[in-house]
Amino acid sequence: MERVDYTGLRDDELMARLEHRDLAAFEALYDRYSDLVYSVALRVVADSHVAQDVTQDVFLRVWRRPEQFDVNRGKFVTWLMSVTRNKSIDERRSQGRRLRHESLPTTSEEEDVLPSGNDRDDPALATVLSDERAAVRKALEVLPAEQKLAIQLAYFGGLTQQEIANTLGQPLGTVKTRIRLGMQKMRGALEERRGKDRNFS
Amino acid sequence: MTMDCEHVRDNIDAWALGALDGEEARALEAHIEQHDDCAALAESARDTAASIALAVPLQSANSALKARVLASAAVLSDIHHRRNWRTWSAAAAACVAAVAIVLISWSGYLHARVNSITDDNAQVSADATSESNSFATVRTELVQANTTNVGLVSSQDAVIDILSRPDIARVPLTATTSAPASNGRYIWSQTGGLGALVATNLPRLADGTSYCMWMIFDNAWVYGGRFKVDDTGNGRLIVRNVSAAAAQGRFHGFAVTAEPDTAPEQEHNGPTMLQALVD
Repeated sequence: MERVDYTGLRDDELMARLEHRDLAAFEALYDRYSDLVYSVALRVVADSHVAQDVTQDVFLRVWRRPEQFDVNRGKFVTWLMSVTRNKSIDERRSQGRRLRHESLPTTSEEEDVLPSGNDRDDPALATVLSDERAAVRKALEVLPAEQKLAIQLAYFGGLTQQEIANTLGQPLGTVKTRIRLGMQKMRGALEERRGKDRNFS
Repeated sequence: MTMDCEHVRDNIDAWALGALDGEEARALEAHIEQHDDCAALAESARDTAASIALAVPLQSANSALKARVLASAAVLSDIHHRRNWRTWSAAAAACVAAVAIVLISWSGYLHARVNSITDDNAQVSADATSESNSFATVRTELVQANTTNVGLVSSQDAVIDILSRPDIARVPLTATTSAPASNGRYIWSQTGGLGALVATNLPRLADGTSYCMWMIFDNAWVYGGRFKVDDTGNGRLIVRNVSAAAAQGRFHGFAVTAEPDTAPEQEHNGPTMLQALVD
């Protein structure tokens, strides 16, 4: 039988193998993205045990229902991050307001998504996402703090615009504007970088 | 709640971040289902929002978690395989059972139908036989009736013929000791060789025996015909083509005797029941 180098397969190729219950392909996907999934979950739920449970649930969903990923609707990592974020938010909400209050992101630097000094780059992840991650970090770096915070509270905190306004003591319209402008800037920065990548390649 | 395209554009990023409340999110999603341009914006916004996750500081998921996830996947795969096998086995068994039930039911239905058709055929055959017998009876009766009608018409014609003859004669017949209560009349035309006998109160004869009409000559008794009587003892006979040939001698009269049906027409051995002597 032909030996398959799973680490060399693209995400969509591995997902296609999951349709045929290829456990080795699943392991390759896990190795590639488990740290990212766990880190996002941890960022949302702020509890390592819960984050591990979320990670397990996310990957078992990938294993059980690989057909839910539609390669025509975008990249696998985008879909995986949406699944992870939504599952984490659900878990966060299910634990009630106590957890939310304890882990609610603040405006402090510790709650920023930007890498801290002890961050590390996963070797497997680095091979496929290091440029993408760097671009996102750079896009977030240039955002005004209030826009970045509003986006973080929505994305990682699971708060609605009204809840963000209440949390920050700002008018709802202000929060809406911050979110809209921050996301537009991010999108512009990411598209600019992707355009450069295409020209470079 | 509905949203126009401008409202959707203003809120698409908040939606992608999950920051709209439930009603707003549903309204926006309903809108982008109907507007391709807005759907494209939604896809882009969702892509941007998902990319935010990439900025988180990476934390390592421990190896124990990996072992747990892979073991769970393997178990799920086995369960999935078994469930599929059980599902297919159950489905196959259900299909076989269903087919068997259908075949048995169909076989039973066909068997019942065959029995029913056989019964129907037997009934139709019996009815046909009955009808055939009925038709045969009717046909026989019609033939008999036709024969009777022909006979009646013939008798009527004969009587009319007799009555129209100029030498018509009426001869009463008297009883003998063999049938003392009986009597009769004979209407005849000697030139036409025709006669009509009407007899009453004659005794009923045994089966195989009937009355015979005779014309008595010197040298012979000439046979005129054979008849039976009804329940009241009445009988009729048309006598045709009787000639009084010279060789037979002088004519003396008429007689009615009882003779076996099998007796030759020239023999008259039975008792005389009625008679009429004319000379």
